[in-house]
Amino acid sequence: MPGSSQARLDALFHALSDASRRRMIDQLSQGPASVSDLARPLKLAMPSVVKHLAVLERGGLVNSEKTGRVRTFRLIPGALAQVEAWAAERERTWRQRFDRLEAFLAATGEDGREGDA
Amino acid sequence: MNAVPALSEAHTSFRIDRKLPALPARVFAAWSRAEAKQAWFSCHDDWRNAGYALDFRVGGSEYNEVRDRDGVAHVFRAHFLDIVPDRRIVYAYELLLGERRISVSLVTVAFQPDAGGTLMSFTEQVVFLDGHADDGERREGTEVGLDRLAAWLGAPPAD
Repeated sequence: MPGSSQARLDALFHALSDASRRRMIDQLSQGPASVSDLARPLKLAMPSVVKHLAVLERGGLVNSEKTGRVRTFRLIPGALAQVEAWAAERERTWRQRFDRLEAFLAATGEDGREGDA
Repeated sequence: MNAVPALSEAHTSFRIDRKLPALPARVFAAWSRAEAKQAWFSCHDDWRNAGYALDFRVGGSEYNEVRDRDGVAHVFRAHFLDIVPDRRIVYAYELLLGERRISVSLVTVAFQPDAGGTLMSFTEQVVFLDGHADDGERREGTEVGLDRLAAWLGAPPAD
């Protein structure tokens, strides 16, 4: 998944911002389901359900697999959230380093010589 | 958090853009000279430095080893793949926690002059190996947040 962790979190929270999508997540937490399985309790038209599922996929919450004519969706277990956590932690480490880099550059001046940093 | 399989590879990437108060030549020097690099690279003041070496050239490497408060070695080992003075550095690096290789990354750092300073962009493409991640209590903040999110996801949907 390319992009900043901020963009990924935006996609995740957007995915979670809709009641129908949260119901789909709730249903998928009971086990994999097809598009029609997911449409039934929501009383939504199939195209609408497909759109919601695309948002959930972009948010990194579900993935799908096609067997014959049926596409089955499943909730991605904690794995994705965990990768996000690792990436966020790694990113934070670098941001802290760059704070120090910025302070180092400010302390050493622009004349090319290194100061007392 | 769910258990992580014994053998796994999880890929992701992130980018950090930073405006710095120095011309590209000085920013580049902060990456390419051992003394300058050490001044900002180390994150934990309370961890013991156990070795540093920098051979800054294409084909060269960088090595940094620190011991945390439990005495566990955290090893950073990089290999420089592309260097354009004052403009770009591309390197691969691995992180080892004790004996375990926890991640391998490809990093691209680019420097652009910008109004008397430098726009630095840092992109890391990383594969986290076997469910290991950077150690340290700083992770807790993120994990608490994600646990809350997970709890919320597990709760009945709001109407």
